[in-house]
Amino acid sequence: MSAPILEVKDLKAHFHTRRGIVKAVDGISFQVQPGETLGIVGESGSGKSVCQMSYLGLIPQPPLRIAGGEALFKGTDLLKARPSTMRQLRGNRISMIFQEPMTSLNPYLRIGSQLIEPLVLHCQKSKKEAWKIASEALAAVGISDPEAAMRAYPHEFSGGMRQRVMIAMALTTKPDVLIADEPTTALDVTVQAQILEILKKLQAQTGMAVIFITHDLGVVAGIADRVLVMYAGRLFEEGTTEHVFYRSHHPYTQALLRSTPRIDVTQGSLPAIGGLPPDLSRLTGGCPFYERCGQHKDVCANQFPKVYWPEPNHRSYCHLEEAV
Amino acid sequence: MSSDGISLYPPTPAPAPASAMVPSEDAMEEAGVSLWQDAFRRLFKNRLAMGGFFFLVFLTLVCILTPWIAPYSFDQQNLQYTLQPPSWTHWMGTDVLGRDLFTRVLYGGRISMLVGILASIVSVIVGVVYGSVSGFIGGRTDNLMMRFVDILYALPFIFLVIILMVYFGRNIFLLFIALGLTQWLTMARIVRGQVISLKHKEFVQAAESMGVPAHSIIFRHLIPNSLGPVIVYLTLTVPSVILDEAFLSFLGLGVQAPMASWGTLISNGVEAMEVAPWLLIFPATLLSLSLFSLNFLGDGLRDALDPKGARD
Amino acid sequence: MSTAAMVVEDLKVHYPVRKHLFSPSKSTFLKAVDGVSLELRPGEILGLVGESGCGKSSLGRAIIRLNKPTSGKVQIGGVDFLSLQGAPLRKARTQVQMIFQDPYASLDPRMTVFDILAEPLVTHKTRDRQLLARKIRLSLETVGLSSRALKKYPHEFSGGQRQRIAIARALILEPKVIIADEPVSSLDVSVQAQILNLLKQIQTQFGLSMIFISHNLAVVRYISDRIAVMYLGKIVEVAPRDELYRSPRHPYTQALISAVPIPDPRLERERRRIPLTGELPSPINPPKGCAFCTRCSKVFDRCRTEAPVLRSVASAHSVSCFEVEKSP
Repeated sequence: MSAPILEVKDLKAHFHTRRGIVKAVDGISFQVQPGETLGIVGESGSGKSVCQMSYLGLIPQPPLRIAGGEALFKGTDLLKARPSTMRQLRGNRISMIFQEPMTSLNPYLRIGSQLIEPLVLHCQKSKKEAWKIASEALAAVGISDPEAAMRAYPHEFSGGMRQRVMIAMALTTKPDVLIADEPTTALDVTVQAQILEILKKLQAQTGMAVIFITHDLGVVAGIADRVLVMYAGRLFEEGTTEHVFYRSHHPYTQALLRSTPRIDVTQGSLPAIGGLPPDLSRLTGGCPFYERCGQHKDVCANQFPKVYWPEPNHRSYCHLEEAV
Repeated sequence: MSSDGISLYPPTPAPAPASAMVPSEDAMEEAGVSLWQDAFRRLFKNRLAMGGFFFLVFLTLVCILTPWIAPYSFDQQNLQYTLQPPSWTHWMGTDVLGRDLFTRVLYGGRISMLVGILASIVSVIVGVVYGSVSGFIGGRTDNLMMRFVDILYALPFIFLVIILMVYFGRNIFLLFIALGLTQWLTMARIVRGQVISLKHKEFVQAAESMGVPAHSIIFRHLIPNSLGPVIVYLTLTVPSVILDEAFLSFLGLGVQAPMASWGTLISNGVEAMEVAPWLLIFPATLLSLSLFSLNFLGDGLRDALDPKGARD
Repeated sequence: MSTAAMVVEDLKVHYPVRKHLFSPSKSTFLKAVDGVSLELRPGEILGLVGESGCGKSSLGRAIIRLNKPTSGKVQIGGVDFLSLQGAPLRKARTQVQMIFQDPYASLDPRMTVFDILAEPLVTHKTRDRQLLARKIRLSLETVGLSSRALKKYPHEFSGGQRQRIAIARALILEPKVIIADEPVSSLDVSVQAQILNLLKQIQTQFGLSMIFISHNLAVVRYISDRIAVMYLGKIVEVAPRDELYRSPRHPYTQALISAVPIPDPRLERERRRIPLTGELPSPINPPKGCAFCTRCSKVFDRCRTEAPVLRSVASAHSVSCFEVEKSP
C-alpha cells in the first residue's frame, strides 16, 4: 500500500464550556489512501464533523482545544502548522463541501465570482483563465449552461444545483482530498442519487481521496470503500464496507444496521436501540455505549476497550472480543 | 379506541415496550427548571445588571420612605439661606428660594420614578394587547391596525401632550397617561413581530389543531413567549419616559411648582448653573445614575433571556 | 364508503401569488395540493410519500384545517369536517390529531409537561381534576415516560422524549385518526426505530387510523399498510405496501424507489438507477398535462396535453399514467 495522503493519529479535541469539558473527539486514528473514499458514519454528537473540522483549523480555538494527537497531510502535521500554511492548504489541496449549500455561497455575489476565487487566490491564475476553468468545472458537474450559470446568483438555483456548484468550486483547484460533510442530507433522494453519481465520476477522473461524512448507512454502502463508525467521540469500528456491513464485530454497528429500515425488504419488527445518546460532558472513561449495549460486561463501564483486529484491515473496539 | 370514554385505561395492561424505557431517568431531578429560572440564574451572574438592579431597589426604597427621610418639606422656604452650597444642615444645599435641595431631590425622584413606571405600565398593557391581537389576526385587519400605528408614529408626541395638557389642564395623572400613550406604539410593533413569528411555530399550530380558542392561544401561548423582548423593552421605556417628562418639565409643561420632578430641578439648575452649580449637579447625577441602572438591567435581561444562550 | 375512517375528496390548496405589486391579484396560483382524493380505512396506516414540494405536508395540514383548503371535502367518521364552524368544529377536532415533525418546536417551551398534556383536556371541558390527572398519567405511560416528567419543561428532554410527549398529547383526546407529519425525520437514527415501534404499537393497541407522511421510503415501508405517492400536488400511485415496492408502475415511483440507497454494499454495486433528468417544475407553473411529463423517460405526446387520472390496475393498486393505461 502506498503512503496514506492523510493520517490522523490519536486525535483528541475537547470543548471547554461552562458546564465542563466536552470530549467531542477522544482518541481517533485513521488513514486515507489516495483515490479512496472513506465513509465516516455516526449520529449527532458522535464527533464525526468536529473531527475533520478540528484539524483543519475551522473551529475557533477557544472553546475548542486540541488535547493531543497528530494530523499528517503528506507528512506535514496540520496541528502544528502555521495559520498561513493552513490557509494555503484549505480550499486548495484539501477542499470541503458542507450540508447547506445555501449558507456556503454568498448570496450577494454571482456564482462566477465565487468560483474563480480559489483559483485566483491559490493557483495564481488570471481572472480569464480562472473563468474558463470554472466554466469547465460546472459542465463537469452536469450543469447544462455553464456560462449562464456563472452569471447567475445563488438564489436562482435549487438545492441540488447549488450543491453541484459547491462541488465544482471544491474541485477547480484539483485538491488531493475532498471532505464532504453530509453533502446530500438536505437534498431529495432523487437529487441525492444524482449528486453521488457526480462525486463518484469526478473522483474516478481526478484520483482524489474523499472523506464522506454521513449518518445514512445506505449512502455509505454505495459510495465508500472503507468505513469508520464513530460514537460519542470514539471510534468503534473500521474496515471495508464488506467488513462493516456483513461481518461487523461491534454491538453498536450491528444494532445500528438492525434498526435501520430498508427499502428492499418488508421488516416485521425493527429492533430499536434503547436509551439515549450520552451526555458528552459527563463521560466516564469507559465505553460510551455501555448503558445502551445489550451485551455489556462490567469492565465496559470503566475502561474503554483496546483495539482488536478480527481480520486484516478490520479493527473493532469492544471488550466482547476478549473472550474469544 | 373504545367508545366508553375512559378508554385510555386498557382492559388488560398493555406491555410497555422495553425499548421505550429510559434508563437514565434516575438521573433526573424532581422539579423542572423553567426557562425563566434559567434566565434569572444567568442574570444574577451579570455584575453590571445586578449593580443597576440593586441601585434601583435602593432608590425605590428611598422614594417610598421619602416622607420619613426628608429633613424638610419640599416647599419650605427659608429666605435667609438662599443659594447655600452643601453643608451639614442642607446636604445638597439650597435653591434660590431657600428650599432644601436634598428634600426636593427626594420628592422629585418620587415623581420621576412614578411617571416612569406608571407610563410604562400603560404602554405595556395597551401595546401588548394591541400588538398581539393585530399579529394573531393577520391579514387586512393587521394591515389596518398597523397603518393606524404608523400614522400615530408620525405625529410628534410633544404636540400631542401639549394639546392634551392645554385641553385638560395640567394634571399629573394625565401626564402619566399621555406619556404612556406615546410609548405603546413601539411596544405594539415589537409584540406584533414576536407574535407573527410565533404564530407559525408548531406548538401554536398544535394548539389550533386541538381546538384551543383564539383568546386562549394569545394569552397562554403567544404572550408568555413574547415576554422576553417586552421585558427588555420595558426597562428601556422607563428611562425614555423619565427623560420625556424631564424634557416637558424643562419646557415648563410638566409638574407645576412648587412640586418638582428631576426635570424641573434640572431646568432650574441650568438657570443657576454659574452661581450655584450644585443645583444642577445633584439632580442630574441622580437622573443619570438611574438611567444607567435601567439600561444595564435591560441589557442584562436581554442577554439572559436570549434563548440561544440558554442551551450552553 | 361509510366504513372508512376518513375520506378526502378532490382536495385542493391553491395559494394566490402576485407576480409583482400591481399585477391583477389571484391570476396565478401556487398549487400546493391539486385535487387529491384518498380513503383511510379503519385501523390502517396509510403512508404518504414524496419529495420536497410534492404537497404531502400541505395535504396533511389542510385535512386538519391548519391551512385553508381552496375546495374539496374531508369526511371524518361520516362528518363533513371542512364545513364545520364554532362548537361543532371544536368537538370534531377531537377525532383527528396531528404529530409534528420538529419535536423542539411542537411543545410550548414555557409550559410544563403537565400543562401541555392538560391543555387539550381542559379545552374540551374535562373538569374533574382526578380524571384529568389519571388520563395524563396514563398517556405518559403509554408512550413510555414516567410521571416524573410532569413537572419538567420541554427543553429538559431529548428529541426522542419530546416526540413521545407530543405523541401522548395527540393521544389524550382519544382521536380516531392521527396525522403524523414526518414524525421521525428530525430524530437521530438510533432513536427513530424506538418511535416507529411506539407508533406501531399504539396504533394496534388503540385501533387508530394513521396517515404517515414522510420523504423516507424505507421508513414508510416499515410502518405502512398502504402507500400513496405524491408528485407536484397530485397522487400518482396508490398501492398496498408490498405491491408498491415489488412492482411500482408509475415512472416516478420507479425512479424514486431506485434512487433510495440500501445499507448493503453488494446490492448497491449491482443496482441500476433510473435517472431523472431535469429539475422539479415550480408548483406555480405546473406543466400542462401530466405533472411529470418534463422528466419522464417514457413521455409521449398525450402526456403533454392531457392530465391523467388515477385508474385501477390491480386490486387496490391505482396509477395515474397514460403509459400504464396503454399496457396495464
